[in-house]
Amino acid sequence: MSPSKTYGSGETTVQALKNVSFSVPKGEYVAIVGESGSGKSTLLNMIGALDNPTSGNVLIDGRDIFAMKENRLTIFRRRNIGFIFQAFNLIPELTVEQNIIFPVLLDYQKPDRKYLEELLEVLNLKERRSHLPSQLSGGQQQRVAIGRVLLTRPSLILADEPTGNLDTQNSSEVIALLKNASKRYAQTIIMITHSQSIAQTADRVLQVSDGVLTDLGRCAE
Amino acid sequence: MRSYLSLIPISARVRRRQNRMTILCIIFAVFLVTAVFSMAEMVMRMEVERLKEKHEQEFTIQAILDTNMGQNLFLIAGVLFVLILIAGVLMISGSINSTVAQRTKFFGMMRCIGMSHRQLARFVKLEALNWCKTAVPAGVVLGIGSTWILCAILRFVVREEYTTIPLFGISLIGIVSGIVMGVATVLLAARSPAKRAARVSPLLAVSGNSEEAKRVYRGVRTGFLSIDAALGVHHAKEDRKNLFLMAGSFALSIILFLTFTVLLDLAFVSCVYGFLVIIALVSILNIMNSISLSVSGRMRQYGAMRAVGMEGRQITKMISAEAVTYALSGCVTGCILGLAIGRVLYNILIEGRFPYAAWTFPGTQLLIVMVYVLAATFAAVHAPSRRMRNMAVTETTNEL
Repeated sequence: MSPSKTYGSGETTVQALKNVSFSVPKGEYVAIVGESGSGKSTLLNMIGALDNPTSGNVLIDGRDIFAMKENRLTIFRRRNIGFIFQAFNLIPELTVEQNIIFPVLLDYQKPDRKYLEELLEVLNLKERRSHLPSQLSGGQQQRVAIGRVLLTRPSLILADEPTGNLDTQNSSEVIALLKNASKRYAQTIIMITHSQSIAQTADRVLQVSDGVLTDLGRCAE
Repeated sequence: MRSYLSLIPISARVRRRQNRMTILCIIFAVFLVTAVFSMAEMVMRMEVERLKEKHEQEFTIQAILDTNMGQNLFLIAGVLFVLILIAGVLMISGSINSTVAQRTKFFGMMRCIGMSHRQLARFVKLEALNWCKTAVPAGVVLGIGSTWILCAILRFVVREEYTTIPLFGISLIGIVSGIVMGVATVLLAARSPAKRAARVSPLLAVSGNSEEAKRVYRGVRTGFLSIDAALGVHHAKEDRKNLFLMAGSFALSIILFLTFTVLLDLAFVSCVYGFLVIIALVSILNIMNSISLSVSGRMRQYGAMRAVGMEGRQITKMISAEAVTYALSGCVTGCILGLAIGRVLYNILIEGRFPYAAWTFPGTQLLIVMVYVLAATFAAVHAPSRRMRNMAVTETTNEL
């Protein structure tokens, strides 16, 4: 079964999202584009169960995430969903390696050493493993954040403008990494981006404008 | 790193400066209690010795406890224990609260990468307990040391009835009560900030804007105040719990002060002066810490105000208005409660023993307290407002 997400409307005083409904099959790499304020971040936050929809639901692997109790939801989130942010959001006092294994520790598990080494290799962070985030460049920091997400092997990765703070060179590296990972471990990626060229690398592009979602379909490559 | 809790000592090392004041508060509480109880035991031992010589028969501590003096001594120690506990809890709770408020974004991020409510609450509590590791032993050692010094003063300077007081006695009651005090204050103090931290929404990490997420319920009422002063008062009143904690810790130092002055009328005057000086010092530290924390929590807001043209003088006025609001509300509650407790203590301790003694209204003491607190407040405003004035506008507005 592929994960499918059905959407209802979100309404405060402004209707941020209007009966958005779509589904994403497992392993697909989806880009969401749209003007600022169009509701794409709201959409992403709801998929990640950070924000509650006013009505409607989100199904991941066939499970309605908003039917779960808060505690269950946290555990579900840390095992199945990984977040990547524009602002990296690393823990400043922890080294690269400690940052990457932290979510695994939160789940009271032992980090998979072999996979960790592999990730550090792939992310090109081997020599940097005992550095602090403040000693890294923006691109390196974002690669740490990606490593942190990948180590828990989530089935769904949500990224809110992961390259928003990076230059072109670093951006394409980060995107390539994410894309490879999704291929390799059959992980679904949903990513918000402002960049046309990044959107073009995706399997599918969704556009949100004024809370309405349009499927722009596959990009011609 | 074995567990997510290993982050606690790591981040404690990094945040050493921010935590210094809180640790000082714990040391102070542990020290006071250890010293008070140790002194009580020393006096007790002396009495036992004296009675032994007089009556040439065995006297136990139990027998002394049954006497009027024994009961009085431990009653005082008990009242002080409770007061110091409350004072410690309020002070420490206040500073943990401020640090939690400043770290909402960090907590949001933790929630985002999968920390549950319960784990977050545990994290904050253990972080607080971690301070005890250094603070409790330090407080106990200081307490024992000052007991020795006080005993020496009583024996060689005051003399009279104290020539037989033990010099280097170590009181088990003192040590145990000090440790209990330290751990109890911290655990009690961390409860509400831990809950507050656990409530932080993971959305904060995504939006990256913790200040906007704070909902403002009421606008500023300027009335007869100018806008800068009105803003300061508003900041103080904005968060009810914070106002309560701030005013409470001001009030508690006043209550402690007024209670100790009652003890001045009792026999062991000299130790009381020592404690008064310490209480005064700790109150200043606490006031400075609270105000400095409050200012650093609003750095960005102040930066924005500077950016739209608020001058340094107005910044100072705004911060002073906030501080004075805390100080005044603390003063009023502290004086009322302090007078009441002082009166009751006086009744029990002094009027019971010396029927001719009459309670007088401690007008001078009250005046001293008021002047002292206000002076401390203005001194406390000085450093953070200068820091604010000298800071480049862009530095604060760009700060994440």
